[in-house]
Amino acid sequence: MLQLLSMVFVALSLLATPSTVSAQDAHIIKARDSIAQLGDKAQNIVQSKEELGYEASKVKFREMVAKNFDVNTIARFTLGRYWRAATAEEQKEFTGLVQDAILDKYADRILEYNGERFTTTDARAVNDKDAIVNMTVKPEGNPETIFAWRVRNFNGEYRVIDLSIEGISMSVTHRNDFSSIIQRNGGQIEPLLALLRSKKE
Amino acid sequence: MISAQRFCMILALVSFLGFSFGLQQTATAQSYDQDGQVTTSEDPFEDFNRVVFEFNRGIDYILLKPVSQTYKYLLPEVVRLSIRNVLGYLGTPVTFAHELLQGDLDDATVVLKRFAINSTVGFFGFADAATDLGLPAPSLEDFGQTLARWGAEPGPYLVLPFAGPSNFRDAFGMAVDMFADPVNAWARHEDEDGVLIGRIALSTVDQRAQLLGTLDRIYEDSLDPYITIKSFYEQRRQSSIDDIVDTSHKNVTAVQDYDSYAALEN
Repeated sequence: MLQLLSMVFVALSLLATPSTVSAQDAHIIKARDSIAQLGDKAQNIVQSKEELGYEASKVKFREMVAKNFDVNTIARFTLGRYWRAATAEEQKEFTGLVQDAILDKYADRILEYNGERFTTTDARAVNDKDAIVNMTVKPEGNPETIFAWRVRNFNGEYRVIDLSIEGISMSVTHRNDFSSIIQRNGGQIEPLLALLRSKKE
Repeated sequence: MISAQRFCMILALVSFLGFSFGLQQTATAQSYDQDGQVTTSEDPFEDFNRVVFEFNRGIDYILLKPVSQTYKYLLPEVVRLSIRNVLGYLGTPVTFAHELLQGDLDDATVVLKRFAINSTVGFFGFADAATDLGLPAPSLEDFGQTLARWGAEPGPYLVLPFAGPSNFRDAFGMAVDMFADPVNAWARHEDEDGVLIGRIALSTVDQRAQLLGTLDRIYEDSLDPYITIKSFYEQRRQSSIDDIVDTSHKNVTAVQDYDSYAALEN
């Protein structure tokens, strides 16, 4: 009897696995592709920096980041528990400032590097929406660094919601930074907005 | 000239007192919000830490940064790389011991093979021949990481004068490692203070030179550099403790627990 049960169980699990595995695989492949494409685009812009001119490549790079990063998710995450305390207007301004004072800066920083090589390595699923995609970045004259991108599936479109460099999450760091400013100002959000306004160009 | 031995003993004593204090503090070392989620570690010595942080920034501004700039400007990359290789080579016994104490026999084997190759083909550590032969260094280990693996809590965050970000566990670990290091032990025995101080100075300058642009950008971009550096330190340490880089050296196996943070808002 037990033997029969275990056989049925094995048969069922064999039947069940292919479909779940392929859904998971498709998720991982799409996530990885989104970052591989982003890496290629970034590399093209970095390499054509001289012929395009610095300002034009900066605009292009910032556009690429704006399109491929999900600023709403990033803004909500980095404001943490203060998000719900904020008014709709404050939320809107904060999201805009995350775009202008944080994401644009990232774009500029990556563009500053020279001879950068972006190589997408392995990806793995975190859950059915999120995945971590690894990328090695080799700046000239510096050791290779591993970037771990957290991407999320937004109705079939994958966008970046976090970047970890050497195990340091940018979103977590900003979240700590922002909550420190809010706490030091008696729980007010306005001083944080003022500081961010001063940081954008 | 200060006696390096005395300096180490004082550091060890202070760290040890701090460590036992740190252990008593662990119950309150992390703050929780209403959902019972860990937010950031608590910082009971924040006022003191901020003073030391500014002191270190001052020292950096007037001394360490200019020296590191000169170092990078004067020495060709190949020389700086050789110095970095030798410093890494000298750290091998400590890393090897901690791989064993953490039960990581795979990495211990890699460290031993690297030591054999770099002692011979690498000409006493000047060249990292092992990496060229496809045997890159596993991440560095220290007593702070071993203690963490054994279950010790970090204790409160601590900014040490000159040495920078730390916590009670890691400061204690650092003092023990400095004391136990065979090269340091030899130097103490032979009264070669120059070796002890030179090694610390050189590795400080080497590390600072690698961060020349990076640190400026962090100070420039961050709203509260003290908090940013604290956050970097704590995240980086956790990644080192967890040995997040896989054996191919191309992927990380873990990232910050984003979901436990994200869950707070929903």
